[in-house]
Amino acid sequence: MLEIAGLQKSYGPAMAVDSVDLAVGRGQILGLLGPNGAGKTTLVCIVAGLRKADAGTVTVAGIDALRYPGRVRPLLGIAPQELGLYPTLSVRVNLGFFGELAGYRGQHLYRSVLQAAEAVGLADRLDDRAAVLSGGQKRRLHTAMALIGHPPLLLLDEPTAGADVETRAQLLDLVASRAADGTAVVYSTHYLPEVEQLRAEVVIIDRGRIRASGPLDTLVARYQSSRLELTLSAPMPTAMAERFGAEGGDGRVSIATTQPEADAAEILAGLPGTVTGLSIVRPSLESVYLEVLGRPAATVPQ
Amino acid sequence: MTLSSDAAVDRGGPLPAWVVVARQSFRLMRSDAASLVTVCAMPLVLMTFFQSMARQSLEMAGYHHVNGSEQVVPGMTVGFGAFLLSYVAFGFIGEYSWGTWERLRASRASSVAIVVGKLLPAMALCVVYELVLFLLGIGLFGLRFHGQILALILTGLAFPACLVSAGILLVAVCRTNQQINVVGNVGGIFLGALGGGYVPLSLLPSWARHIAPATPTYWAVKGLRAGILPGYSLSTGFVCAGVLVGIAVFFGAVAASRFRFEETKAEIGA
Repeated sequence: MLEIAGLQKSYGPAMAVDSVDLAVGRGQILGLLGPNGAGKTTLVCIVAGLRKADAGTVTVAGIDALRYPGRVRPLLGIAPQELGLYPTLSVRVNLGFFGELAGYRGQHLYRSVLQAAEAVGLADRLDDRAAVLSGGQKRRLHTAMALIGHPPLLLLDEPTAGADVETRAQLLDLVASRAADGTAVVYSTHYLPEVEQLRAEVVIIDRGRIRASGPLDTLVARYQSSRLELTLSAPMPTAMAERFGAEGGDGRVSIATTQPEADAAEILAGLPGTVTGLSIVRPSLESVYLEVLGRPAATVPQ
Repeated sequence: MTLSSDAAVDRGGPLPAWVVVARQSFRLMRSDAASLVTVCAMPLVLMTFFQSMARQSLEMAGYHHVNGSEQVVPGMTVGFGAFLLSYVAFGFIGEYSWGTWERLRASRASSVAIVVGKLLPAMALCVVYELVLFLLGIGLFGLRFHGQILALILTGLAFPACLVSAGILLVAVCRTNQQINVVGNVGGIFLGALGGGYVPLSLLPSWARHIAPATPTYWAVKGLRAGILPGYSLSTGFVCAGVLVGIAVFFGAVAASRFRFEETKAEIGA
């Protein structure tokens, strides 16, 4: 659905997007991760035709988006990072306007507005002005306005920024259901657990360049290994410690491993004393993210 | 729940994007009706206070059987109409403030459709503003027409065109709400006064009378007066409307060369 190759964009001397290649298929969610100023928003804006690229190609459903942005726009729905809605108009009119722009009229428009409002839990607020909605409701309306045309490509730029837990869960469900319907989704976010929850393909971008990309599990396996943390009543035999590369002392041992369950079973079977504590510390997307960006890696115990 | 695939396929035939944008612009205007009422109320207040003075001024200029409405109605309509250019500009700037500008640009509405959809309602608003004030002028101040009606109609259409193109020029050259406020309001009152909108031209200082023809408001007041007062030829109406259209085209051309759709105007609304 979306293919990007060799994309470049600079603002003066600063490269905002530097030789980016990526692809998103139908039904696929691409989690776009990176620190502030990494180039995520610029990338999304170029795809949406809101910024001009310096070089490279962007193809949406086989159409050259850089040359024919007008042909591509009906195929995409965008929820920009900043809230974008008409505060003095009702939820119905906000949704209806973008429904009309997506090509709906009459009964279809009426139904589409109702369905989009139901999808984000705002069906009972249709006649309220957007200005009186809570922050979370505004965020949901903002996202629903991107969904209403049922576009085959969704560009969601930090859609859960500032959203409460309930709103976040609702929006993630919505994104997952749209992907299940075949929509290609580019999902830019700072919230790494969301990408894990969506089981998205991951692209980590920094200073305009893609630093790492791939399926979540592959990426985690490539960059980080799990660790076995053991608390022992007696010292680990030297041969075993050398074989597993154990670190630490005073009864607390840490072992890096790619097969934590198998190694744990083998260690437990071969240890002379009692094991008073054992935990498997698995790497997370967060630890991969930090390592890729050159920050100290962290792991999350499980 | 998601949109049904049937609805996605059969959408009942889309309206042209400029029509959709224009309808939304009307809705936005309606939601801000209070400021429109204010724009109409202000000239009515001053018409009341200035009618007597205007009558004396017209009598001194040789007009008989006049009541002053022949000057205050067209004058105040044009004088306060100059403030509408800020209103036209805010039709665009609001989209930046609300964060909807980029959404709009990413929709199927082309740049031309967005501009047309924004400007047509603004043009209609300016025409309705004139109509309302002239109808109230007839009803409240005894306004009667003894001049060239065609001059009145032509000028009445050309002046809004001029306001609308000045409004889009304001959007093109200003980067913040504050700039638009300052340029729109100070510029509006300056143009309104200089063109003979608030007081008759004969009462202005001589330097002002000399530069007045450089303002669109001068031609608007003159063209409207040509439709009200006797003694004007139809060619006066054509000249006035022609000058106003020329100014509108000039403003529009400069605006077109300066307008940047991708400009974020991020500080606007701050």
